[in-house]
Amino acid sequence: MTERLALLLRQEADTLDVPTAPADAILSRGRRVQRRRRLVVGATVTAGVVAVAGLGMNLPDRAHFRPPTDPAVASALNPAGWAVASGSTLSLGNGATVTLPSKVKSIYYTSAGSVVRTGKASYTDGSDSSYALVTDDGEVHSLGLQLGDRAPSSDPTLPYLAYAEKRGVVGHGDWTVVLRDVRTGDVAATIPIDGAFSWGGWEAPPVALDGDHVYVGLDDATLEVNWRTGEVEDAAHLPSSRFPGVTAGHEVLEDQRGNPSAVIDVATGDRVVSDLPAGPAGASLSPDGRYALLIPWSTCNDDYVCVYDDPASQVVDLSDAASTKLDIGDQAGWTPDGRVIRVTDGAVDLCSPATGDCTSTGISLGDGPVKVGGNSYES
Amino acid sequence: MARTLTDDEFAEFVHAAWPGLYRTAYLMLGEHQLAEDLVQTSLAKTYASWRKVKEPAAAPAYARVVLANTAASWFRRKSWRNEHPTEVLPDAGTEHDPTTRTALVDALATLAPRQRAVVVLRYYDDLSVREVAYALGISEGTVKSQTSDALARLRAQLGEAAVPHTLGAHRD
Repeated sequence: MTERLALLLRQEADTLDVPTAPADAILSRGRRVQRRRRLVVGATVTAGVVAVAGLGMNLPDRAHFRPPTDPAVASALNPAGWAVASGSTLSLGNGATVTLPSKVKSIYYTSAGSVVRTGKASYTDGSDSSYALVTDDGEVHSLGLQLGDRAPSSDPTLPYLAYAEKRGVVGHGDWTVVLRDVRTGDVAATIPIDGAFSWGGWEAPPVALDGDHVYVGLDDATLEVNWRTGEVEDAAHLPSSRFPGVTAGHEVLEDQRGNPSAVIDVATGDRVVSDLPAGPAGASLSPDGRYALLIPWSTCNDDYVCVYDDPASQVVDLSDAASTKLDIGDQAGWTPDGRVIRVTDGAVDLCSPATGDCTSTGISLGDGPVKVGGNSYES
Repeated sequence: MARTLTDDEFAEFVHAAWPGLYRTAYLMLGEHQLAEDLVQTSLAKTYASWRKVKEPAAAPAYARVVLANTAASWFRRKSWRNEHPTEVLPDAGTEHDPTTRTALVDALATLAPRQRAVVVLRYYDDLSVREVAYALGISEGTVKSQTSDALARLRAQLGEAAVPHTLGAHRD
């Protein structure tokens, strides 16, 4: 008999003085979140706001900087180091299939194998994520990480997972960038940074690990953190309040309407490619930094499984801006060495970004939400 | 749908959904400012995910799930756990008038945050066990056990008349 309790709750609710809805503020915040999510699929940046948030270099805080004792050397990209998942089943590029304890939320390529983020639901908004390294032999090694609703990052040439965590008193802008060695589960390096983070909904600012640097999206700047030396700078050519998606030294820019428009060299700010074809929801850089895949708009079902509205897409060669047409099926991602992974009705193909030619892998995915490596699914 | 959503249309949706979401948020959190922050955050996320909303009529329900999910992520923060829950039952001998809102608010404040959210979603928003589990990202079993424990606490505060013992017996 719930009527009495329900009545009390309704009576309580009815007495509330409800404030006026701040629709404009919500719309503004919604746009920021949307921009962040577009960055998820396209690593995009608003070209119109490529304003430097204040140049400067901060000396590392030696009291909190913990340099890596045995820093990893970047490895060559592993052509077979790709992975796709359906539900809790992970299919590796070498043919191995691994069953995980729960649904795969996201796949992070590292030089030691694929790190999978798993949980009860396939989407990443929830805080129930666990992380494990799946090595090429199909072994699963738990990392013992409980990162909650945060957005970590990896680089397929390094054995690290990078993320930010709160340092000190909540409410102050003190963070620590952490590099965790996925081979051992141990913390490899910690670098302190300062800055407010309120623009996104995560528990800590999102990061992008790219070579020697971790990019951190704060309110007033995107920081460029050198994890080897502890040096922290404002990333001169990246705007603030954004999801960093730096890949192999490149980043995608958006125009003022939020459409992907160009690719820049993060170090110099030079435009590698201008005038990306108009229309897509985003653009995704290949892990080797050689190509940009235009990501169509997609529609998601109740299980947060998204399928492209129109699979007709293009891959742009960043060396000469030449584009190649490519049907990318229902969902697409990247292999570590820069081939497009295409999933169509559960069938997995690999496609050449240079020619658009695709070959079947023979993998047919089973039931469950599909996650394709080389994508970020942070939301 | 999202691509054709205009600012005016979204603003209209915000104004329509705001009061209901605000009431749910306040009952969950017990603080006006936090409730406002939660609803703002949830509606901003809803805007960003608008393409997931299949039909306009489904948008309020979707926003409510986003709100619950966002609240759940707040609850999981260590700082939230340190600052907000009241795990200790108040003196059982304290008398309350169960018809006053203060008594209800006081009683809700004795619940752990997730228990409180479960109670609000189940008995104010009238969601099923499965819907609450989905919204909060927890198992149906957890919803049931949290409901049972929460009702026992509320019964101690509000009395048998407000929360009959049969409520807890069903646990579903």
